[in-house]
Amino acid sequence: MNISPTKLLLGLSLVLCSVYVSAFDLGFGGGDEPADGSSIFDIGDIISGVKDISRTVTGIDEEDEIEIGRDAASVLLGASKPVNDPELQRYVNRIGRWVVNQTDRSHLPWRFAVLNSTAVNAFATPGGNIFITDGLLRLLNNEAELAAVLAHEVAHVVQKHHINAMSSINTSGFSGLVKLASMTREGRSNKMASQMVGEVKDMYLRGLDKDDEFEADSMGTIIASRAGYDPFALMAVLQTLDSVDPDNSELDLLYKTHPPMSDRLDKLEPVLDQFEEPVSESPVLENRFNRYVRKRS
Amino acid sequence: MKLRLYSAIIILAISSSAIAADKLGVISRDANLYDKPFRDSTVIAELPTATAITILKRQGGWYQIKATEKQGWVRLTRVRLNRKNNNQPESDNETESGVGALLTGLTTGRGKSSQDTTATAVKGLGEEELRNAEPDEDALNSLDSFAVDSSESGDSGLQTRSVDYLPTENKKVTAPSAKPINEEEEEE
Repeated sequence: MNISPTKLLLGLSLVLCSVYVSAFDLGFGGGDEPADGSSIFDIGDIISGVKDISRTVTGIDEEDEIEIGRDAASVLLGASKPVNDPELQRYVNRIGRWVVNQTDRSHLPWRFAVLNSTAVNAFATPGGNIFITDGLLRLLNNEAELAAVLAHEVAHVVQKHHINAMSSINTSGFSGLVKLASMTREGRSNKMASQMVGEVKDMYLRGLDKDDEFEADSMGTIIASRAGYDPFALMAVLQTLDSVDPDNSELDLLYKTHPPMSDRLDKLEPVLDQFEEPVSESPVLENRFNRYVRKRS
Repeated sequence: MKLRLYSAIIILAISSSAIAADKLGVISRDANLYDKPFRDSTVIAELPTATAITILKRQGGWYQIKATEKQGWVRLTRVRLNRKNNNQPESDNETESGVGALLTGLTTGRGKSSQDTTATAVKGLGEEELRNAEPDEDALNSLDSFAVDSSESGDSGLQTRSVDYLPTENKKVTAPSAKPINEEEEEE
């Protein structure tokens, strides 16, 4: 991709405008306004919008975001390959697509994959590549829990958490990252490419800011519940993970890159208080999940 | 004991319902034990922090539990599940260690799908693997064949809800009257 300075400038200013607008749209992803219209000017949303503008004001072209995300995804796929089970992969993509349709970034080229790793983890890269390890998938009990894990990762993409984190790794910030991304693609200079790979690895070894993780838990819960799933599924997953011996090596990277499970559970509690009983009717779709996931055991 | 643990692993490997069997946990913060899974149902008991409980099942935001010889419902958010190593009671309870056992089963040999798994190493996407990873663009491109675009996603059988990202106290959300698609008969 060639980017002339003029085009870049134009792109950046367009992005700044659209970020401003979409930040205020956050509460109503997918245009599904509350039926009573009561929360159109919710003060919480406006505060969240302002916070969002300040965080993304150094903006990045969506095309670049997608390209950087592809670079990051290819590095993760260098460490672990997709499970060779087209039916399963297709199933996970159908769930993932249904989930992202509840956000205001459903237009991204979303890709979901189960990776053949015994580690317990899930990953997102900018632009919409979402990975869940086989190790984590096998700990889940139903489709609602799978959707909740995917929704947590989707929230990272919606909020551009990784782009923010990577720009703090690059000494020149956003502009350095964008420049690196475009030069890597144009020139394919080995030096630039390996710098990009290095920054990607740093990012995923270091993990995101813990507030980004709390935000993804909260937003992920809400996105999954918008999709019609049991709102308590993500908390159930965190409780399951909390019950695993933390010394288990399969969880090393997860714990190194995420806040303690007990903190995440505490932060999620007030989010769930809004869900009035009875929510037991919310489907968890255990049978459908088992048909695709358990058949392999 | 050892035999029971192994049989637990085997059961977990072939049956998802085993993992949902009785689990042990603890009350994480003072909580009411309710008669039914509703906040306006009768409070049977007040359970102080650290009360040991046995979890019978989950229903939405509630666990049905047994504690101090009583049975009832507590909010999901007031419960922590026990860890395999540090909260193990003297009695040999094989289901309590279900998750740990499942993981052990995974690491020590996952059967036919991974002949190359060694005893304790994390396979794929551990810290070491990530450090040594070479970008794999072919694997990346292979993901395209499974991708689903928005026009293909209408068959989830689920009904969407309106929920804002930042909840306020006054917003309550009730469950949708969602029905699983066609032959998907769910037990809950």
